[in-house]
Amino acid sequence: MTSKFDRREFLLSASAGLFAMGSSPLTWPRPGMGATRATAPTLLTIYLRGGNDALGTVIPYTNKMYYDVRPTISIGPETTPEEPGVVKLTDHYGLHPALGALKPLWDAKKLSAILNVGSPHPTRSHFDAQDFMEYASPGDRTMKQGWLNRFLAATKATGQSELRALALQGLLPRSLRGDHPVLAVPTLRQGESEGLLDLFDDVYRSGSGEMMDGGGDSRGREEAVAVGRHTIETLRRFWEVAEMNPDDDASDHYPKGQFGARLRLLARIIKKQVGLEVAALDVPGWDHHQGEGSTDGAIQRDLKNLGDGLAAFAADLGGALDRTLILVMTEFGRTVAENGNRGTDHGRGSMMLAIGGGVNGAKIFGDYGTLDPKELADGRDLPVQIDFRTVFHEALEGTFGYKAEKGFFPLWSPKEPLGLFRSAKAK
Amino acid sequence: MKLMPLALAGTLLWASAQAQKPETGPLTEDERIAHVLSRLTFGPRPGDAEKVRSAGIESWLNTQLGAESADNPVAASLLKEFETLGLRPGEISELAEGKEGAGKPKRTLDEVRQLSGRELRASVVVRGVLADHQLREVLMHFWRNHFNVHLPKESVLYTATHYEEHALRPHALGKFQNLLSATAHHPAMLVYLDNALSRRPPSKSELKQVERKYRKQTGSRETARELVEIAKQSGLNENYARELLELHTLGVDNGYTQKDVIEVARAFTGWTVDFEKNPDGFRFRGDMHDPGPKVVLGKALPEGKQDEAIAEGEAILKRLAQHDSTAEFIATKLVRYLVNDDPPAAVVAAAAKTFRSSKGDLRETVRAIVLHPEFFARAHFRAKFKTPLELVFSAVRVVGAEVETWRSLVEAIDTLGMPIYGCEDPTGFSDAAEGWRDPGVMAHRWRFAMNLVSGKVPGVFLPSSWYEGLPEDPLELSQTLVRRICPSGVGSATAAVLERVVLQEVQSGTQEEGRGRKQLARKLTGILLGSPEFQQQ
Repeated sequence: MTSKFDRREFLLSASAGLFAMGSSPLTWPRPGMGATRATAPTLLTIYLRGGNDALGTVIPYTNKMYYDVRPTISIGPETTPEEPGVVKLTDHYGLHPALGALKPLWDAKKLSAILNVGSPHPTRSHFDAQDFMEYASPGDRTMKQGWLNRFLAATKATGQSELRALALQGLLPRSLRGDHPVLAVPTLRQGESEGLLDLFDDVYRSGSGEMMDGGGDSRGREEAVAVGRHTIETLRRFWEVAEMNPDDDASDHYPKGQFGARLRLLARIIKKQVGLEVAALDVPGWDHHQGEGSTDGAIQRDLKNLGDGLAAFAADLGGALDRTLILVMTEFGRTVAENGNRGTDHGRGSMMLAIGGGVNGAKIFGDYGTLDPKELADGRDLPVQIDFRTVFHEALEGTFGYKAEKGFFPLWSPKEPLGLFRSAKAK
Repeated sequence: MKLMPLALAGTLLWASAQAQKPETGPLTEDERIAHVLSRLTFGPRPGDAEKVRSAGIESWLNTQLGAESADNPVAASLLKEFETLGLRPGEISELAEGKEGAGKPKRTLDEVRQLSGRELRASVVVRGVLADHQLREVLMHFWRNHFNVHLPKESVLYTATHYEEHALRPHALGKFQNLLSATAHHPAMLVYLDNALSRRPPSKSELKQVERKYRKQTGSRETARELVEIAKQSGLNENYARELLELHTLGVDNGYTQKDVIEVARAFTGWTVDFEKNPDGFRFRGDMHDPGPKVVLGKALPEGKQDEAIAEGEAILKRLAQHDSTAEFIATKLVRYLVNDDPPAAVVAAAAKTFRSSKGDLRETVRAIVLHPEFFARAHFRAKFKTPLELVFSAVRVVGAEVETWRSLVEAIDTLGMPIYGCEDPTGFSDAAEGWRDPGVMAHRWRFAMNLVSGKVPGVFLPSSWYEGLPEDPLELSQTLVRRICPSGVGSATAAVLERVVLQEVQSGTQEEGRGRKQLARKLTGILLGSPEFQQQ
């Protein structure tokens, strides 16, 4: 209850503060001015909704079992005139050819993959698995604050940027939900957004008690105005930052569509150094029960969008990639064997990708093993060998130097670190 | 141009008239009418206020609280077009089979199941916007949220339509115990809260075996123990039991313990789903039931033989429905919904008392709330922040929008973050303002308002009647729109913006053509629908 109250206070005080500064655009805080942590590192989580197929993404191209159980959806070890083969990373593992754009990042030691990562909870329900992961509290339904929101709340300090955390989508993902206010950037085109903000700017203006006549709880109405003001001010700030020198996008290779457009915006925000610490982005549509295919199906299309987007983003960030960690994750993996519809069903262990200047790069953490049913979870799925909390824990420490306190991950204590960061390894 | 000085003079007068000081004292007759229409309906349609006035508030209330009326003809004819509404899963599947000769393309099972989900969501909007018996729809929204199920979870997709029509709707103004029982036996709830999977827990020796296996596999005792904790859950599933106590009946931490949760979960083991055995879906399986004595809320349960052990769950439902904490919890939630986010104690007490004395009669409980003198207290007037669904319904209703594409409104509500049958949490969506004030969300409300008036919500239009009876004078036009949309007036900030927009139009001179005036009317309507005043009810 108290935390809710804090948030209400926050909204009210945030808008009161802006009133005090006056409403002229000239007096809005500018980047580089005021209390923003200019060189804050940024953690971007990209969530592949639906349970991405690890074996269809990072491919064990020397494993005969892989080819045996996936007769129609496997990727060959070599490129042939008919079909592209894997993009080889190590002697055993390669990327799906649709992720070819990521190979230079691997070569530059800025990309690593984590295999057989997942949740100890055996649920194969998308929603439970996503909940447990985004609240980082498997099996516990009482946790209602996302793990990224917990981090923001735990490291709250005065003078932090109003753009400290963003979701580049209309609604906050669960990982960012909670008491710490986070801006979900509405899915509006910039022009449309600005028009609306201008139109309602003077409507959402108050401070005087006579906002509305005719009784009622004036505090409640003031809050409606306050949230409107907060929306106007933070969104304007967002667009102002996003639109400064828009031509400096270093990469024009972003794929067409929402994912690429959002990454492009995000890169601008990061490059402007306005104190963005945490960003989250959902990519829907990875539940490939049918028509997943090999180089001709749904996963080809989705991985291409993902890989091209990430490669363009990394190139666009340039030097800023050194203070950025991109973590690509999903709720669970899929069955090792293909099903009768050239697809795969819900499984257990999956994979993550870690990209960034600080990443202990060109490494495969974890191992698919032999894929012999005896070694699989329930005889059919990749077993979970790396708890996703190990990765989250390391991501927070490696990116922000934040050591999660006891209880941050309920009923769990950190295990042996993977060594996901170069600096961590050096220690 | 002769008009301008006149308009300017009017502007100043009008601005001062709009920025009234807050009223005090009891609500006026007009305010009382606005209050019942905003709380007991999804907002007034054109002409509704006059209807309530001529019928008298009391008599209007009694009609709404009275016997159920059928869907009105417009809604009924729309709903008749829906193929799947209220059907059982087996009946939905039949739509996919054969029937090719009937001129319809053959559809896959997946397609007709998806259709049932879409039609269900659309039906909620059709009824919410069009139904004459609005109070029932307002309460349906409450119970849908109270007994939340999540459409994308497995078979809920194609069982929810039957749930809405046959578990919730018949009891929305009926007896709470019947409502509770209908949800408890329904496959949508059994699957959503995992009770269908719940079975007697593994025995100690079974667990030992599991631990040994994991220790060998992982080489860590600690990890093995964590995994055993999880293995325990694969037997007994406490999900439904916990939410039954916490969310459906007693309220959180309101007179039960974790031990009660486990005992209730044990009692409900075997309550599962089997469409082969029963087209309605419910099946009790004695072999999944956890036998042995159970104590719930301090009292032993009557113990039945394996196949009669269903009586344990039934006894719990009855006990919970009649529990004083349930009366208090339901009364509090209803008063929060119908009166104020901060529910006034006197009204809650009256509602809880009626709930108890009427044995959970929901119609009587609602009557006790709306006929309580405090229902019309000024402190509650326009005191609630509309949820996204309430905002969309009330906006569409207040302008009397013509709707061709109901899906557009379903999607508008999705975008605003309150997808119908799309709440993942068993808590349902928050009814209090706190749940809807994330930074950024207001922009979507403003966009919806402006899209609605400019024809950008696909298949939803401002009707030509909206422009009828609008005065020629742009200032009077603006005042007329305020009276239609915010009948209790707007504050000075909104008034000043309306005035500025009018002034710009006057100066640009386009208002003298009919088209210009329509455009002005649209813009002013959009601003009013997006105003803080219209976000309140």
